[in-house]
Amino acid sequence: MTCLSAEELAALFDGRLPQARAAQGRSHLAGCPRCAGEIQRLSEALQDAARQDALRPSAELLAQAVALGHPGVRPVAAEVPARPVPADTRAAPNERK
Amino acid sequence: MPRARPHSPHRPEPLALVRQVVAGNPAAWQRFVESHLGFLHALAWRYARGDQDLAEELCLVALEGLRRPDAEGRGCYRLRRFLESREQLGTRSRFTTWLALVAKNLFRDWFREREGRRHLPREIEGLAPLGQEVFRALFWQGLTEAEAWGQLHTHRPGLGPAEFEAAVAAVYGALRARDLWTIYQDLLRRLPAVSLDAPLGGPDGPHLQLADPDPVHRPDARLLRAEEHAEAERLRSLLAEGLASLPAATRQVVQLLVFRGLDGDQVRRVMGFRTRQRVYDEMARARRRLRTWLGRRGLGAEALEAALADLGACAEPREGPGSRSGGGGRLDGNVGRDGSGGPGSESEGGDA
Repeated sequence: MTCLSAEELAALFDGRLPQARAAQGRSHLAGCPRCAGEIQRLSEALQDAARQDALRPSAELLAQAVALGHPGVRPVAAEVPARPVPADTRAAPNERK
Repeated sequence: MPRARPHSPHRPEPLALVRQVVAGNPAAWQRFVESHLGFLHALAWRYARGDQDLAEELCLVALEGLRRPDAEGRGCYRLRRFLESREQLGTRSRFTTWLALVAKNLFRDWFREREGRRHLPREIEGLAPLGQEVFRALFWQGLTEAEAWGQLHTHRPGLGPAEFEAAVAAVYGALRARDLWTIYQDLLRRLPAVSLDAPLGGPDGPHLQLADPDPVHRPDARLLRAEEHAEAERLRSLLAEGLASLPAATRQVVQLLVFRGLDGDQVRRVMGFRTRQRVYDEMARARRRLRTWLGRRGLGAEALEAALADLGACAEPREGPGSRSGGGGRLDGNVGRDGSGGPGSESEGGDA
């Protein structure tokens, strides 16, 4: 069986992969150190990230990140001003409540 | 549905936003960044090991990776693939789970590029050159086997599919041996110098004397001693056989919980169990069976039981980022311990 894609691994990890494929995926994990390692490291990364609740990205980082959208992979005219939003109030994404 | 990780219950999965980003809407990109930068930053923090500048750099690396166009110049191919997989294959992961996996791989690629040439793990150095190339393609470039075949075939016109398959099998064989070996070292670290041939008299028995009570003394060094190496080999192969004798679901639970360090709820979800109790029931069954299996072969069953219980206990959530490179029961990936020690040694899960 072929290795699981990133999409399938994430879905398997969340218990949200269609049943038949999930069964295949589980037996694949048993024999594939690479995919099993991916699941392991995903688990580690999420556990660590959850511990970093207090961290907030800086205003500069937010500005730089937003600016990535402006060179435009697609030639869509910029519809928003390039100026970054004030980060003090907006830079705390609420991925976690 | 129980969730292992806090996740905003107030918003639906941000699929509509992802679709707008894929469509090239800059305002959507800004909202996307505002929604996910904190999460990316928390993820990057681990890989940056507390270096603020590096953490920020990694965030930008990940976001650039999400925007990267495919070969035809269509933007955001990774996000596009995420959406397509949902629609076509019915993968329904949370967006953030997928994002964590992809970001982690993008971080790894970045470290890898920065570190330049890397050393092959010992097991792989022992393989034929073709095996080493296959290893690089699969684990360092993160190609699928089909992609690796395509690439290698281009460079080596004489390469046949059977030869390629054999090389792939050799690579996985070598890595599996490493996995078991790592587990084995851990068992030995916990049970140093227990003679496998002599019966164990109990906790005070003479054979339970520690050869090296010094905790900083690495098991690796001790293993170099020939006789212990031979013992380790024997126990290693017996343990491998014992594990192989378990029912598939039981073995999978042991692998995920003990060797891969997932927590009980994560294992439950991967296995598709309804309750977490089932995970622990399977683990208990594995211990019973292994104890019997090893006991029948004259091994110190009680001592091994204790070691396995210990391993099971350490499958609970771990401490800091440093724990992944520790000498614990978890396998440090397939290509770990190759000298780089950093996230650059992560292996790949199809985010090529």
